[in-house]
Amino acid sequence: MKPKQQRKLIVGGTIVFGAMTLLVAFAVVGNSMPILKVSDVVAKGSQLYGRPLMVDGKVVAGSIKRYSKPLMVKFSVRDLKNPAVTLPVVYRDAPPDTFKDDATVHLQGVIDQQGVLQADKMLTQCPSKYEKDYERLDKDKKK
Amino acid sequence: MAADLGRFSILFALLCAAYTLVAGIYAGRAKDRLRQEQWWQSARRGLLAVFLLCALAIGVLIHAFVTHNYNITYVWSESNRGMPVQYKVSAVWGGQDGSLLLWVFVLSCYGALMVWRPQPTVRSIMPYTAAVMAITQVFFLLLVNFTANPFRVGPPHGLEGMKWPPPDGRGLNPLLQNYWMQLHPPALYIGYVGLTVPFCYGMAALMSGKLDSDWIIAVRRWTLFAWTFLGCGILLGGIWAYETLSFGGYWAWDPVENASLIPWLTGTAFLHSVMIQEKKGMLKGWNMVLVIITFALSIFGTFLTRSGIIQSVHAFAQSGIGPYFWTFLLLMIILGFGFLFLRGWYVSAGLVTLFTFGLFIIHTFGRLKTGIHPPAPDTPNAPLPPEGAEYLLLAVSFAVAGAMAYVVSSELIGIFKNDGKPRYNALQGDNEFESWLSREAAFLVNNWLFVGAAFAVLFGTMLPNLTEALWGAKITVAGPYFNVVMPPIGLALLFLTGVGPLIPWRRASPKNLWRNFRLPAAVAGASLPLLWLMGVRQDAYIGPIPISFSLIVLATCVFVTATIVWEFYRGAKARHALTGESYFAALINLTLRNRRRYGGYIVHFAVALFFAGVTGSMMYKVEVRKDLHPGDTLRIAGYELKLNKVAIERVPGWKESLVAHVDVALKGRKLLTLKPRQDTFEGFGRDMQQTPIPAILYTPQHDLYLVLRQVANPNNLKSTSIHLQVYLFPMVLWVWVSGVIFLIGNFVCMLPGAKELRAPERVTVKGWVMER
Repeated sequence: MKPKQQRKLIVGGTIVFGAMTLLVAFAVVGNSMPILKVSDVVAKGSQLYGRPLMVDGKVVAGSIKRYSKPLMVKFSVRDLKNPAVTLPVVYRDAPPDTFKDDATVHLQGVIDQQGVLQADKMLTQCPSKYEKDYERLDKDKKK
Repeated sequence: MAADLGRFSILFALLCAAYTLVAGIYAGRAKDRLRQEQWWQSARRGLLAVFLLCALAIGVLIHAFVTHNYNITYVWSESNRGMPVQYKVSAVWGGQDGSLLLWVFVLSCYGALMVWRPQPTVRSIMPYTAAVMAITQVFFLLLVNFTANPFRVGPPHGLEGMKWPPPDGRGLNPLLQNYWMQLHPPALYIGYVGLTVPFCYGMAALMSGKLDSDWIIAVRRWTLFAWTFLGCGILLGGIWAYETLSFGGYWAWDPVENASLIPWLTGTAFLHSVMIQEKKGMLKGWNMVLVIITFALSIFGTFLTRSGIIQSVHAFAQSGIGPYFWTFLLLMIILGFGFLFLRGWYVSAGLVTLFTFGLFIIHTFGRLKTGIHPPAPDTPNAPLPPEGAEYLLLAVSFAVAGAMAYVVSSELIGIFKNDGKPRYNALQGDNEFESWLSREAAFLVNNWLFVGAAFAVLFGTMLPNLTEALWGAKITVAGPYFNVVMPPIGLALLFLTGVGPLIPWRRASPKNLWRNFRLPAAVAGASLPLLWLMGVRQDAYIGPIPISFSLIVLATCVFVTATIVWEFYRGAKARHALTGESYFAALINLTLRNRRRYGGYIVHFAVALFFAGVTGSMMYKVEVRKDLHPGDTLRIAGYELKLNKVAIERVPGWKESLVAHVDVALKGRKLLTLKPRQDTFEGFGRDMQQTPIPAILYTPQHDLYLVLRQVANPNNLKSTSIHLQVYLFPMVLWVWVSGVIFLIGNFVCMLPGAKELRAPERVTVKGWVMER
């Protein structure tokens, strides 16, 4: 390929890919949030106030309080590894139907001044009963 | 007995695939024509055998599901007696093991079809095509045989005390018990897996050095077919989400969704880019790169979905399958770019190969340290690999390193002997790039944009893993990131959709551009105030994309549609003038005689419709929620919804539904009764898993979407109140309609021409019958 042609393509390519890269960078900086464990959130405390974040945890058994006017649910989540560490959560909508005691939840929201997670989005995973059934099957193979 | 038959068939399939690999390579390298033919025929039969055995295996599994064979662990874990029979069949691919077997089966179908009657022009590279197909089959068959065997018998681990065989199955996840589950995975797999075929041909061309356009032409329909099904599969997933998940969305930029989109994007680039190689002999290197990365991304996509490295609502339960995928993926990338290096792209392909090899070594030594086992004690599934599997990986690494060293040094020696000039430059373009205002340039920029979009999505999807690997903290992005990145790139691509087919080759003069584009541009410009009048303006607006941007997108959709309509009009008019047939007949014949071109236009129209539908559906939504007793009404945007009654519907042994009968009236006239409901399923549902299923009224302007959120008093249905959530989503139907038009357009593109339907010529050489 002639050098002049090559130069044209390199300049064009740099512009197009450069623009896309800038777009991605801008989008990431403006819209990223950390995925934290409950223990991280509790440990970091006031550092996180007002910043959007995502948390994974398990619903503490017996902590669920459902309200209908206004529609919301209050509960506590505990750390997946350390059951002693908990975080209060408020979710102002009807929770998914898989939401109950000991469900694993994935929450997105903002920590307010009182240290309560004001959740905008909640995803629950199917209860752990489905997962525990299948573990290492090395014993099975030795049969 | 059934389990034994199943196990035997997949094991023997693995052996046949391994044999085919050897036979294919031997045939490819044979210098003697007769020997080549004999070994090619043998390799061909190998792939046919793999197909028959895989068909047997999946037949056995389906039969096991339908006849309640709960002796087989997988059948127990994914179904129960009460399920309707069609869901027993689709439950086959409800879990990891069965879905991998489905993948293997679809792959074996493609393998058999690929070698059944290959095109004469590519006959000489077929042995390598079979070999590369065989490598892929060997990998997936290894997985199915040794890490995710659907024919395993006995209680699952953790439940050893269970009575076996159990009288009834555990049941299937309620979200999978609908007809979308029957359509979406098979369609998606036909697409995903089908992308292997172009890769096989491309690799064969690289390996044999036969780098002219024959493979491109031979592979066109395969690529189109797979790409169409992948696209439709993705849309089917969207409809499924829309109709089942009751959040009113059809796309959430979930990692698993993205995993299917990314190879589709690079596949689109490939599909277009090959036209330039066919017509002008340019972009040869690009096409190789695109075919390799499309295949690699499809493997990566399925790896993302199955390995549990990404958090997703879709993901299968975590398993230890990850390391195997990494190994295969990295090795295939090394293979692809390694051959690209050998065929003349020394610097770029050489760097990619080295980098990938570096990743491979890191991966291997990482596994040596941690061993190949499931990630954490409380994650389930998958048997452990055999003891010392890591050492096998190490051996493979050394073998690959040795092969690479040999190849690179012999190549360097070859260059040295050739006075410092590379031995091959078969990837050199035949023509030159002359001007930015040309079709060649449009297609090149098209490539750039699609690849950029694919990597932007990939980056957004993998960000948590990247940041964790680099800094130990997981940072993620969600919908908003994609809503910033994708629309501008999408708009640029949409613009090219209108411009590309009409812009001249080599160099377009301003006069030429004016003549070609003045009418569509004028129509698009005129549509702007019209759209504003129709309601695309600030006061009606709530969506995440700026209103001015939505306006521009919609105007561009009009632009694209105008170019297409004009092309059809001009073509039909010319035909009418030439042959005297009616305009309608002229239109049909025009399309049928130029299937690729006009079929392509139909697909492009579908794309414009899709963009319009997506933009429209993001512009606003209306939501009303109310507690209703029977007899109460709810008003939304001119509709009047009256709760008639709440009833129970039971299918014994399968599910129980609470159904709200809501009468829908518009301007006083009753339209229909919508029945949003909550389903509780047996087996799985013993934990009281209620799944709300929305009821939807589809109209061209908007959808009326009802969700039964809560039944306050399920024991007293005559007087209970319900919490009803009602949405109005604009223009969603356009998205689904565009999918149908997309399918039709691609079907037109794929229709065979009269020339191709002629039977191939047969010749006899030394007693062997061969096809010319």
